[in-house]
Amino acid sequence: MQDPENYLPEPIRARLRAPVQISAGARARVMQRVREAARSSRVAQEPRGMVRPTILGALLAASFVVAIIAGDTGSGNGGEHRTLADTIAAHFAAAAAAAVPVDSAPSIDPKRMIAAADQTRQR
Amino acid sequence: MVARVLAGDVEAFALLVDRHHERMARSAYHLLGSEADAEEAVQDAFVRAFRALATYQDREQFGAWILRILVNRCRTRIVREKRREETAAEWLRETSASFEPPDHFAMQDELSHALALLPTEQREAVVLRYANELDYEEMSSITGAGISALKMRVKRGCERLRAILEASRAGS
Repeated sequence: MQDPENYLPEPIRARLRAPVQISAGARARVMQRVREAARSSRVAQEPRGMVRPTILGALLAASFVVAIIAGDTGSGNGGEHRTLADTIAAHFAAAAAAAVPVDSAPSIDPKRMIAAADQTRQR
Repeated sequence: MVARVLAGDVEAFALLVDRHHERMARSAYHLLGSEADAEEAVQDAFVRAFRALATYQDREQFGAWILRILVNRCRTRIVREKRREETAAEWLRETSASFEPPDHFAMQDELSHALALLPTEQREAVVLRYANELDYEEMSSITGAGISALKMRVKRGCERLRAILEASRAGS
């Protein structure tokens, strides 16, 4: 390349233009990472940990929610209708009954706290 | 080739790697001063380009587009490296140890040593101008800097580079 600006002598420009072989197999390693990226992007396009809902499944789920809100389900207690509020209240009552009482205040180990703080700082 | 990759032919990307790898490696090496850092930056740039290929528009040359990605990766690395060095220096000062700045630029030859001593913006301008043989318009689209600013950076960078090389030769 001509250098009309004449800022650098040709030997220095030639050294800047000279090929640099960063390491053997560098191109192959680029393609290896590209293939990994392609694989992971394909996996990301597919739903993970869930099944695609079918139309029938969606209709069933919707009808179930409507039934709960309208109080049509759970009429087990002597034919008595249970509304959504009743269901929620029963859930919390059962949870409260199952809870284990704690008779002492939670103890804090200062050494463990410091260790945990150090760990999170390093993240 | 870009269209083939977008159609799902991942191996077609190898042709783009073959075509542009050498120039990318040269730029990254002169910007970062170390073969290992250059290789990582080049890999990152290609992977990012692959992931963002759908956003690439034909009106721009692929070579210029991927070089811009590479320059950004190198800038990020340089800033990160500087921060790490500052933190290390501060820690060593606090612990009263003597401190020599870590030599993150592998001083393989006097040219890479001299380039490493230039301010980042001047180094970038000199490398794009002389290692990549770009004109100022191409440099402007890659760096986002104006043409007159780039001309000034090249001029000052070259003056400094020559002075450093002369001083190094006089000292040896």
